[in-house]
Amino acid sequence: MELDWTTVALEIINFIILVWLLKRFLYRPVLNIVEQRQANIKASLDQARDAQEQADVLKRQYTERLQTWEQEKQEARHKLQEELAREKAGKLESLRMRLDKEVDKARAARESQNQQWRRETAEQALQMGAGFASALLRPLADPHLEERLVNLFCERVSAWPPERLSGLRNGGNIEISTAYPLQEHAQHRLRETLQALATDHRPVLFQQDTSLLAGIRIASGGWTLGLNLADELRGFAESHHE
Amino acid sequence: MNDGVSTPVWLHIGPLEIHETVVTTWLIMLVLVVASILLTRRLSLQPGRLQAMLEGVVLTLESAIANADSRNARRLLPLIGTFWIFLPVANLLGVIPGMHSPTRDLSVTAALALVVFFAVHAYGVRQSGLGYFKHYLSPSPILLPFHIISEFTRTVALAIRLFGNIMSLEMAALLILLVAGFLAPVPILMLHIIEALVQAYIFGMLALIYVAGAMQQTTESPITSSSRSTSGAP
Repeated sequence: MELDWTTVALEIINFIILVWLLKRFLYRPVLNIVEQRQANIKASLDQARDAQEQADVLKRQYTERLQTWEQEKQEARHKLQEELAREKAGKLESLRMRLDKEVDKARAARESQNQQWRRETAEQALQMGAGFASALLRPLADPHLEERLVNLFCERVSAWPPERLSGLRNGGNIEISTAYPLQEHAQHRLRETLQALATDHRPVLFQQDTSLLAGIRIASGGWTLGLNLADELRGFAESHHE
Repeated sequence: MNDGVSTPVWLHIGPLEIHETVVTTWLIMLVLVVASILLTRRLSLQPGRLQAMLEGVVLTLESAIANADSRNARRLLPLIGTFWIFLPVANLLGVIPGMHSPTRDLSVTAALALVVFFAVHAYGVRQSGLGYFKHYLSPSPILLPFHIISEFTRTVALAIRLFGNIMSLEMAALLILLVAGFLAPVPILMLHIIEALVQAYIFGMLALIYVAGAMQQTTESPITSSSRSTSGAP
């Protein structure tokens, strides 16, 4: 059991070489790969952390955006409701105006219809009145009535203002129609009266027209003037149109 | 002449006599290096079963070192890790019939103890500079001779402990085999395996404690005192 210094020295050298070789071929490669894996894991963790942070940020942004959208939606809904209410009010107003117009039109149509009905009724009443008066007066028509009408005519026409008689003055021959033959004195009175009104001695022609029932009708050119039952009754019946 | 304790000379290189233990050490080194090269040839980020086992071994070694000195674990790994890899193989080589453990040779264990001795001071100087040697004067310069004696005795104890245990186990196994027959040494061989692993662990751990203690001399740590008390352990 003696120390062999050669062996000691060789063993020391051997062990130092073994330390270096194992460090070179065992520890360093294994530790490198472990460190590389840890670096990869750390990078993955950092990446995951970054992704998590980005996801959190995105989530926060989406939440805020959702809230903003919800708020905008509420505002849009309020605005839409207001617009709908305004539109509804406008349409209701328009409808009310149209209804008012329709009511006015209906009222006007009803008024017009009433007026038409009243006019027709009045006309019928006048026609009936005229018919009644005509039926009543027709038996009363005789030469005496006619003579009284002629006298009345003469009295009235003498009181007329000159402008109402301008047609007579500017016309031609004076034609006098009567329902019955006039007496001589009546013809004379008429001729004098008319010639006085015409302010000249125009010829006066007499003729008989039984359609007048009683009374006279005087025509000179386009001017006509009458005081007879037929014209009065017709005038009574047509007075509604005037 | 083989007295059962001294090792035979196998080679002569000039004036140098190469003993069996040196050749056996070379063989172990070759196996370890080739295995390391083969195992680390195709390392990938997604480890297979073999790579996971290899990484587990290396990281376990680093973790065990970090328990003693977490700051210098990466720096101490090559030395202490090599002790923990080389010594079990060297100790267990004697289990194989016809082969002998290199650590049954006092020259080998003395060489390893000297490696530890020089490594302690090398790491200490590297860590603290020449101020590392001040700790021999603390707490009092009077204690300097005792510190020096302590350094030598613990180195001698380191060498003798490993050599004595391994050599005695091999001798016991050989004697029992000669006296009691073929199957009787089996329990002794099983004890040899356990003892070989334990001695390898103790040697590496003591080396770790000595080196870590030297690296922490700037602040007197419990490791130093505990290492001195451990140096006397069997």
